[in-house]
Amino acid sequence: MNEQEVFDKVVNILKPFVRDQSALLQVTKETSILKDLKVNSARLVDIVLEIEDAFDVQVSDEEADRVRTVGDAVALIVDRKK
Amino acid sequence: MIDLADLEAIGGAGRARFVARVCDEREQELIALAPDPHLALWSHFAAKEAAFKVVAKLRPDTIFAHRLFHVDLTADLVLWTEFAFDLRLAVTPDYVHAVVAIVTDGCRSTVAACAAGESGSSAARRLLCGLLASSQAPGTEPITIVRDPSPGSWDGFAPPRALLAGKRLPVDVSLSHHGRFAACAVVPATAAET
Repeated sequence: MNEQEVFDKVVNILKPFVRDQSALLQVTKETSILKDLKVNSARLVDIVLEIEDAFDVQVSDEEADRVRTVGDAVALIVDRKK
Repeated sequence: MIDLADLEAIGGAGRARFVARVCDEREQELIALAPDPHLALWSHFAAKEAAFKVVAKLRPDTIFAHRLFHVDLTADLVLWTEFAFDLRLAVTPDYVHAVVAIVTDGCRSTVAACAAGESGSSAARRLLCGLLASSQAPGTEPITIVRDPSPGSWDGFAPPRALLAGKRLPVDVSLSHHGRFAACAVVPATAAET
């Protein structure tokens, strides 16, 4: 799975957790999950669990805490899948 | 601040993995045995989130690991490393509001529904300005709430400060919002969060 495929899959994971779906229309690697997509903290935990399932990886609290943007999530997954 | 009725907003309630990710083993047992596991989970979650905001002021580089914040609802405490923070929990059929501080003596807080078309952030600021203004003399200049950019912090901003005529008021303030509700808290001097 290349980086673009990981990006697309991450955006699909985010979709159900983003209230304002129009915010996803212009999503980039720089998009902030909290500030731009307005995902709340409870949902953030759900997203981490969904990423673990979708990519068959374990995400530690430290790793999850460092994820601020969609690109951060993609980079974490790409790194773990090497 | 947790909007209990806003199921779309709160997500993973009752899911075992969600509970295991955010709660320690003792908390997981208590939640499983609680008369209302949904309420028990979100009471713990709200307390942990509020406690983390206090810790973020004390030690800004702290990683937020929910499980490392140990909530004792019977003692009204949140334990984290060597700290024992006071906890005040307000529970209604609609929401759970947690206030955590080093000491909650003198704490004032308020919760209200967001107005139509009003963002949660704006509503929380409006509530906080109203709460602070209630203890000011009539005719005093408007109070403003500022959050400075802070790259690397959990949401990109430093904790809020209340200013009167450009000078910081001698209080610690906190803002929170979730779903339909916004909240704020004020304590004299030390760290408090909701």
